Amino acid sequence: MVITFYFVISWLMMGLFIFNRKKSWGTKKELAFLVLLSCLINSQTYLGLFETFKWMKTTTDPKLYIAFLLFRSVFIPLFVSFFTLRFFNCPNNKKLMYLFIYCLIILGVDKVSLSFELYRFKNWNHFFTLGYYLLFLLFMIIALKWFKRLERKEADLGDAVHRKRLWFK
Amino acid sequence: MLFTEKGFGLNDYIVITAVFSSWTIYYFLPKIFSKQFTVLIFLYSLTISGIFDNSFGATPFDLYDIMDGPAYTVMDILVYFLYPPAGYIFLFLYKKLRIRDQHLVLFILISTAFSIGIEWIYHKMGVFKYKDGYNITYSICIYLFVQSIFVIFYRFLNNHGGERIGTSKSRD
Repeated sequence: MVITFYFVISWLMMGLFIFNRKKSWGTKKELAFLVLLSCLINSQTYLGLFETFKWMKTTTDPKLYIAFLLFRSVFIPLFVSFFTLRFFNCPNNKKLMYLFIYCLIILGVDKVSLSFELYRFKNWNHFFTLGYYLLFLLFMIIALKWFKRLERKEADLGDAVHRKRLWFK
Repeated sequence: MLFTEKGFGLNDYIVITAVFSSWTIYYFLPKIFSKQFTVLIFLYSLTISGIFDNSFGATPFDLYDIMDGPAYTVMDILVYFLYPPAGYIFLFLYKKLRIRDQHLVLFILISTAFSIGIEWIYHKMGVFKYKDGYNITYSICIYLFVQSIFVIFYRFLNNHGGERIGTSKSRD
């Protein structure tokens, strides 16, 4: 049941990302950057929470663990990337609404994961989860800005080299 | 977080040497990809290795350990620094050798064989410790999968990567 749940919501996120995405939101390189970075951060964070700090305890049931992997490495990266792009491209008056929806979904998914016993809290609670995901979103927005600037810098550099070549001709 | 689990040993020296040499190779290789794409190569290498290590190498599967044992140490993190230059070298060769479709399978097979050779050395030196019936032959499947997806990823971004921004010339 829980595998199906996470499979369906992951599929839904993929669908939203591939078919419902407006091209003006970002290039495919930017999307790849967001998904890879969020996947990297999220998998390392949960590893830290489970193994290093032991603030949470993961399931030992392989079936539930597969559901957890779908949650950690597919759903969350796509979800966070989707909201990063939405947040980045929406007008200021809508940002608060998106933030509210983001928090609501995060809390809902956290509740579902707990009720299916994908993990258990030891020195952790929903408030910390929310704090982590808000910081995560903020970091992703800053990272996206940096990544976009990288492209612009290169374009400027390319133009400068081109101008120099024309000057010496 | 501990620096090492069982003191500084041969595996630690091997990892430090390997990290230093692989980044030196990367430093001297011509930079044929754009900065954005280089970031993506590094991220892909780190993310894929992270997913496999944190899925199959962690509870409940726990098929292998990196370095001395199950604890997450600074030296475990250092192992991840091996992957980005390896990813860059793989795509560098793919692009420089202008691998055509009919030679792609052979290229990935040779690259997998090379990767397995390197992993075998690491295993013998105690960098990777297999557990619960896991052996190096399973890694063949992982390398074949990861490298094939890497080529698809490259082609996908190379064809459509900068579709919205058309001002800069793509070096990818």
